[in-house]
Amino acid sequence: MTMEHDFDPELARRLEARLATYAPASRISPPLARRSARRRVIVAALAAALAASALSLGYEINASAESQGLGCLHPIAKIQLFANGIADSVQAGDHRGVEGHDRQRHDERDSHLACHR
Amino acid sequence: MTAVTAGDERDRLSVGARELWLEACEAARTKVYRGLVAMGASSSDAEDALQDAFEAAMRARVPGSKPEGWLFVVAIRSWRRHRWRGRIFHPLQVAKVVASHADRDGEIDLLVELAKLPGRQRAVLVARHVLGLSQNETAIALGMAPGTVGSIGHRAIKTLRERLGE
Repeated sequence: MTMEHDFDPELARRLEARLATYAPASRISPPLARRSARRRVIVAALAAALAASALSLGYEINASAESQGLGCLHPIAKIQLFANGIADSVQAGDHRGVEGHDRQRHDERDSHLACHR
Repeated sequence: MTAVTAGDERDRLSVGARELWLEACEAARTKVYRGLVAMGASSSDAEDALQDAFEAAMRARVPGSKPEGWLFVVAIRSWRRHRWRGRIFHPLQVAKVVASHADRDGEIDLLVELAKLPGRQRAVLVARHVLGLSQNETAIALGMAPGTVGSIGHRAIKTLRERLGE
């Protein structure tokens, strides 16, 4: 019987003894359990993106009101004003309802002037 | 009476072979885990890499090589990928691990000296001595010629003995 020169039984025994302390502490979790961690990261990323979008929209609404000199309006009124602005831009060319919007804007400006009196 | 086609028979055999393959993988788990630790992976890294290898084993077609060798090679690749990612995204954490290894340099330890061997020598030594693969099985798993496995393994044992002062 020939002895393989790249195998040392003594070394194998010593490695076995040295590595005996490194047995898996627990059974390996099933693949689905690990994927849930990945899912958590995706959900967190989506939540962060949503929060960032909401924040930037709020900033945009406020900036829009500020640009019209209506910075001290109630937040709901600012949102309405912003929505009306978007509706106006969507209906560009269509003059229906513009008069009404203008009237509403005048009313908002009047109420704004009232807070500086 | 329903006729059993050759295709059905082949499917039944392949399902049986897959079950046997997964059972053999499960039986090889501890050996491969220890092999990864011997290659230098931390306990958690070894578990992660082994888990990735198991997921790959579930998806892969039943290979002709021994499950120990197959799992070991797939797990090593996964561990190396994670290590590169770690170096890029968590350099401080990696530096901490390297520092903890450096602290053990003073003592002559089999695993420390093994970790200092070049990658190919380490892989051959672990495949032969920890996983218990034969020269041919190691050659198939690591994609080398059997003669190359022999010479690399011989050199690795010689270097390790010298470093351990034997």
